[in-house]
This record gives sequence, C-alpha cells and structure tokens, in this order.
Amino acid sequence: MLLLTSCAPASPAVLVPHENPATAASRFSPGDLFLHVAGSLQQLALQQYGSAREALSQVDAGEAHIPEALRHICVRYVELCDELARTLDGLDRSLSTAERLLETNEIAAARAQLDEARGFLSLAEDQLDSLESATTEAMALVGRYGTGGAARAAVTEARTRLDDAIRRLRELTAEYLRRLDAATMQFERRVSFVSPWLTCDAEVDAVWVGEQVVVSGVLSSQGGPLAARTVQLLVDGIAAYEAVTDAGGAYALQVTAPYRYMPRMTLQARFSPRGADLASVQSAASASVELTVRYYETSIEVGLPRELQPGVSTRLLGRLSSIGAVGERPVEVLLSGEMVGHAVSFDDGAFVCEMRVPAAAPEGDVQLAVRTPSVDEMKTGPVDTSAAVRVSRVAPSLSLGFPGIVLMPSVRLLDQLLGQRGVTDDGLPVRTALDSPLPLTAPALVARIGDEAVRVTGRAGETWVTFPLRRSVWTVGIQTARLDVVPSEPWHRPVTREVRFLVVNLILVLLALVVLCWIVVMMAYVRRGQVEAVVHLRAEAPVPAAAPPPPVVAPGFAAASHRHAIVNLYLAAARRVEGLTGLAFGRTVTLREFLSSCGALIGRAGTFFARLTALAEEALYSRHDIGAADVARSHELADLVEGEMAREAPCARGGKT
Amino acid sequence: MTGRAWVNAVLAAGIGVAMLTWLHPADTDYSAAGRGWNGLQRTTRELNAVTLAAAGEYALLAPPGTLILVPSMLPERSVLGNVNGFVRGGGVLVLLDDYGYGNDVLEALGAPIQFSGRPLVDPLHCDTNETMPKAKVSTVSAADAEALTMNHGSWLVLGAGAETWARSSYFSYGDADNNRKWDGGEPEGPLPVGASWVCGEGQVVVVADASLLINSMVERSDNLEVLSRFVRAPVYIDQAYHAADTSLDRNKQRMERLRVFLSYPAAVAVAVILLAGAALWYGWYARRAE
Repeated sequence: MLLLTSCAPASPAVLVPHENPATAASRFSPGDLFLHVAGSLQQLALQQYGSAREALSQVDAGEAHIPEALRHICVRYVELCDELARTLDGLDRSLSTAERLLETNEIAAARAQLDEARGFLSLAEDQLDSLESATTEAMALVGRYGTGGAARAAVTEARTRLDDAIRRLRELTAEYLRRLDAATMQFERRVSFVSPWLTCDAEVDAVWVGEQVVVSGVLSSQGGPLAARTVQLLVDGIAAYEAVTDAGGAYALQVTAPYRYMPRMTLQARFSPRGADLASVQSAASASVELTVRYYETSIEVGLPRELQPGVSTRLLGRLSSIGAVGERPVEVLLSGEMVGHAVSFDDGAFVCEMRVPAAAPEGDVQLAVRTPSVDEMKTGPVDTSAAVRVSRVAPSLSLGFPGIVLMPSVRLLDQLLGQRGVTDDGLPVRTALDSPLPLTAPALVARIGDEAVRVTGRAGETWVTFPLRRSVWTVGIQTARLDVVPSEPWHRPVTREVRFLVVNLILVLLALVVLCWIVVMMAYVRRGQVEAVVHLRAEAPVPAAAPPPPVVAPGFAAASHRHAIVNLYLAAARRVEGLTGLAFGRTVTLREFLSSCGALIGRAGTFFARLTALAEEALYSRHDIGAADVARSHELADLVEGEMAREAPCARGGKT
Repeated sequence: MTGRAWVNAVLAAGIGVAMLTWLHPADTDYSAAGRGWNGLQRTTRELNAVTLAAAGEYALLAPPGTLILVPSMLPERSVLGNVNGFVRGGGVLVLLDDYGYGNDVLEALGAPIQFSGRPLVDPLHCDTNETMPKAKVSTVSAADAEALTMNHGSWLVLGAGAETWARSSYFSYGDADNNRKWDGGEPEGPLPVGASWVCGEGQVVVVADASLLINSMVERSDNLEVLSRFVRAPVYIDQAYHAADTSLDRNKQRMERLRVFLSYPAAVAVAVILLAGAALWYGWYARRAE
C-alpha cells in the first residue's frame, strides 16, 4: 500500500487547451452582430441585393451569444433590415421591368409594374425611417452590454457604419424616385400611341402529338392592316415561331404539336413594335387559343413490395396497357431516383423485372418507382407509378443456451444430466442457435466475458460457441457474457445478446473448508495453552477449608516473588468466595468473569475482592514491577474480604434458606 | 518510542495517504473514469465503451467496432499500424484532436484531412465565450439541424475525398495569431470542423476538438448525439494516449486494479482468511512471549 501511494503527491501539471464551460468567463460582443448588419446594409446601398440578403440570412440573432435582454431587439432589428432588403430588391426589379416594357411599348404590363414600384418605394421610405429610429434606440441599449474594451469599440464602430449605411440607403431611394418619375413620364407619353389588334386562330380544335396544325391571324390598326410586321407565336408561353404579315396584315404558321403528352396546348400571338413603329404603335397580344392534344395513354399495373432488404433480388411482375404500343417497351425501376432494375415488356404488355437494392442502401422509407417512357412513333404516352417502401435489414434470431450456474471444475455427471458442456482449457462451450429467414453464411461471432474476447466464424443452425471463461481459481461469482453476431451479408444487421451467469468455484469452496478447519484447530491449540496455564496456577492455590498449599510458581515468575504472594492471596480469597457463594471457579473462567459472576452476591466484600482481582491480574499479566507495597495492599484486601465475608456468611446462609 | 509504535505510526500514515489517493477524484483530462468536467465517464457509459489502457491492447483490436482516440501523446508506430488495420478492415475511427498528435495518426492512415492546429474563434455563435464556437451539422432536413459545441477547438484542412459534415458559422474565423481579433489573411468562416473519409472497408471520422465528448460538453450540447450516428458497436475508448501519465493516475489505476481484484468473492474470502490467521498468530505469539 505504501509503495502504491508513495509518489502520489508528485503529480506534474498537464496543460490541455480547454476550460470548464460552467466556470468559464462569459463574454458578449453584441457590437459584432451590428457591425455585420452594417456591412450588409452597405452592400444593400450598393444595390448588391443578393449578397446583402445572403449576409443577413447568416445572422441568426435567436441563437447568437448575446444577453437575453438584447435578444428581442436584435432579432427585430435584423428582421427589419431583411424586410428593407426585400423591399429594395422588389423595387429594383419592378422598376427595371417597367423600363424594359416601356422600351417595347408594352403599355398595359408597364402600368402594372410602375404601380408595384410605387408601392415598394413608399414602403422602403417608411422602413428606412423605422430603421433610423431603431438604430438610435438599439445602439444606446447595446452600449451597456459589451464586455471589455474591444466589445465597446465594436459598438462605436457599428454605430458609425450603420449611420453611414442609412445615409447611403436614403440616397439610393432618392435615386429610385428619380427613375420612377422618369418612367412615369415615359409611360404617359406612350399611352397615346396607336393600339393595334391581333387575332390568332387554329384550323382544328384537336391535334395528335407530332402532327402539324396551321395557325393564322391578322394584325390591324385603326381598321387598316399592318403589313410587313413580325408576329411571334407563343406555345405554352414560350416564343416558338415567328411570321411576317402580308399586305393584308395576315400571317399563317405551320405548328407541330410537341411530344409532350399533355392533354392541352395553349397558343398566343404577340406583336412587339420595332424600328419606326416604336414612336407610334403600342405592342399587342391575341386572345389565347387552346388545342386538345391527342395521344394513346398508357397505364401500368405492378405489384410493389412494402419492404425490401439491401442486396436481395426482388422480382416485380406487371403489365402495361394501352391502345398504342405495349410490346417491347423499356421498363425502369428506380429507388430514390437511382435505377435498380430494368426490363422490356412482352408483346402483350406483361413484364418481369429483377431489381436489387444496393448493398449500402440506408435503412428507412424510400420511394420506389416503375416507369416506362413514351413511344413517339406510336404516339403512346409514358407512364409511371410509385410507392413508399421500407428498406430494412433483418436481424438474425439468436438464442444462447447459457447455464444459469457454471461449476468449476465441471462435474461431468451433472453436465450430462443438464445437457451442457463443462469448462475446458479453451473456455466454456455454449449451445448457440442462429437463424434467419434470409441466407446466412459464415457470420463473425465475437464472444466476450469481461474484458476477454474470442472471434470465431459461425454458421446458421445450432452450434457450440466457446466463450473465453478462464479455468482459474479466481474465476468465481456473477459473470457477464456477450455474443456479437456480425453477418457478412448486406441484408443482415448485427445482433448482440448479453447473459449473466453464476460461476461456483468448487476449488475455492474446498480451500475455504480446509482453512476453516485449520483455524478451528489453531484456536483449539491456543486455548489449550491458555487453560493449561490457569490450571497450573489453580492447582497450587490454597483451599479455604484446608491449610494453604505450598506456593506454586506460574511460568515466568520467580519463586517467592511478590507476584507469587499476590496470586496466592487472590486464590485463597477466591476459594473463600467459592465456599460462600457456591459458584465454582471453573477452568475456562477468567478472573474478571469470576468477579462479575460472584461480585453481586458477597455484598461489601465484593468491592475489596474486585480490587484484589485487579492486583492479581496485574501480578499475572503486567510487566510493571510489583513491589512490597502491592503485596501489603493485597494482604490488607484479602483480610478485608475475609472479614466482610465472615460477617456476611450467616446472612448469606440465612438468605439461601 | 518503541519499535512497535513506529510500525503502527508508519502503517497509519500509509493507510491515510492511500485513502487520500483513493478519494481524490480522477481529474486527468479525457479519463474514462473521470467524473469531473474534463472526464469521459459519461460518454463511456452512454456508448457502453471498453477502455484500451495500454499499447499492448491495440493488438487485439479487430473490426467491427468504433475506436475513439484523443491523441494527446504520439502513439507508437506499431499502434498506428494496428489502428490502420482496424479501420481498413471495417472499423470506425473517431479521431478528436486540436493541438495534439492527430495529424500523425491521419498521416499514418493516408487520410486527406489535416488539423490546422490553430484556434477557432466565433464571437457570435458560441457558448459562454468566443473560444467555444458552435458548428452546424449537415442533416437531411433543416428541422433536424443540430450543432456541435466546441471547446478551444481548431478547424480542418481537407483534401479530395474527404466529406465535410460540420461547419463553423459565418462569423467564425481562424485566429492564427491567437489575439482574439480577426486580422487580414486569417481564414474566415464557415470553416470545416467535422469531416469523414472512407478508408478501405471502414471510416475515419475527424472532429477538430479534443474536448468534444468531455462530461461538461456532453451535458450542454448535442455533441454525443451527433457523433453517435457514426458509432458502431462495440466501442473502444483509448486511455493509453489520452493524456500525459501522472503518478497520481498510475497509483489510482493500481488501486483500482486492487479494488477490482478484491471485489471477487474468492479474493475477499482469501483476504479474510489471511487476516484471521494473522490475528490468531499474533495473539498466540504475544502470549507465548509473555
């Protein structure tokens, strides 16, 4: 123990760069937050709306390390800045669009954009007023919370930069106001231009995919045709065709229905003035024309599983139905967008598709989709179907036939009776049953008891696995065994079982019995030695009824010593007490035990006998020198005991009768 | 004073010092038994981890499983070889370091990741103060967003093949000159602090903070939950290279071994028998001397 602890105080200090967060000094720097916001506002003033909004979105004031008293005002301040950024961004977009529309005389659309820009500008001015007053209040409050000189300097700098940003933003809104006024004036001038009329008609109401249809119309103005003008045709909102009007203002186009397999197609003609027309003619758009698009629809029937396992092949059976083509159509199976199987349909539309989930696929709910593309030549549309399926791994079932109690060394008869095996040099063999509904081959088994582990290769079914239980005299008590099963197949997941069992070490029991016997023998031997010493003394003690026997020297005493005299006096008094009380001074009774048993029966003599007992004990066991004064005292006490007992004797006898 | 009194005094002093050593808490950094703020006891319990207390135990390391390593000291070449074999065979290495020997471990594995070895500071998104930055963890959905809370951590320098899964905030910066102030040229956030790399059949998960899983940090953050995603049972925690060994630690470990030894019923029985025998012998001897 001393060796273990001798060098305990000599522990050198170890420097590790970390600190206890519970006792670490808390430091706030709210000025940094406002510095960052000021930077974002300055970007805003430079009309860098995208980057300014991105920078503002990084300020998560709700999670920032700032005093709680400041959190709300910081959150609101950042929100206000974000609103201002959105307003200015919207204003810029509306105004720019209006200006662009006015360049092509698109008056109606320009009016809407100008109205929107006017609203944004008014809102931006209000928000700037709010921001200015909020900045004054927020900075006064934030100034009280900064920790340290650097934090206070950050607040001062933030205030300066915020004021600068607000001033620049006011200049920016003034610039927008000027642009808005200029655009409004331009609009008022163009609104008096000639407004042309444009029509658009299709020769049929419906068209098959891939087929052509003739679309025609007339462009006119104030009753007269507008010749040699370019007209655009928008198919589903996208400019797809262009035509030039003839002398009568008419135009005609051959439009091919795209292979989009949508039930409807929208057509619209549009005229945008160019060149000299820009000074006198507004733009125009026709009414929309809707065409029905025809194609053969395809439907699919397929049985999708609800659960899949990674690495396991699954066969999907299905059928494609369509008036168009169904034979030799490719069928694809996708799991979360990744193709996991494909097939080609038979002539009757039936298909059989083998799919396999990737071995590394994560467990959980995923989307399984089956799709087949269109066949444009046969005007047959595509089709797809999907369902949510669960990808999971199977846990092999594992049972351990661990005995509740393990005897060490084993008792063969008992093991045979219980159908188990005993502990060997390799460990404890345990019956293990491993099973799975899916193929399970050569899983790795890690058997542990305490800190010791053994790795073996297992197999499906019942087998014996040897756990690393040491055959040692020290192996005893409750033990914990654990078996980890690590399958090699991707469709299995690892399994662990833990078992507690009791080891009864028969060698230790035997050893304990032997030691116990040895202790009993030793105690008997020691006691015998003590008793013999007392008997020796007692055998030589004077008996009250007879003459005092010759003095006997106890071991370790010199003859005629003071000790001898005191012991003899005590023994004489003890015999007298025995005679009076009838209590025997037995072989196994000590001086004190005898005193405690008889002291209460001999009245006042008990007090003197107690003192004499103490002197006798001292004479027997103490190493102190015993002098003549002690012997004289013993004499005196023995006489007093004798005298008192002589007085007490008649009473005692009377009492007994 | 007699010889017997001297023996009694020395015995009493020895027992006293032993008691002090025993009762003094294990305050070593990253100690798996440490219940204090800087210990790893909570992580060890939560992950049901087994400790690797000596270099020799690394030879027994075999996949599958996860090894959590905080290399405050340089592991021997043979140990690095064992770790390499463990990872390439399918094990997961969770390497937590900032200013230690993490780069030596990564170099031995050939990983395209390096610890910068400089402090990461974030005055805004932090816990308590700027030296405890919070890092956002990439998750499938924003609703499940979690954060790592670091403690005097660093950042990572990544090469091709490494995947970042945790980044510090936009406001963080690498405080290369350690003056708690951003100076021109110092790297600005977001900086990678958590990354992973596929190594053979296994995976190397690196976090630029050695103190990520100490008791005090686990209590106040999602650190353990985040790292649990990478962990595969069984879990081993290194205790051979986690901190400079002190004599107090060594003595506590010895006493712990003694306590474990004495916790066996057989050992207790033998100790009682020996004490009883000694007491009997002493009494018999003393009596015979008189």
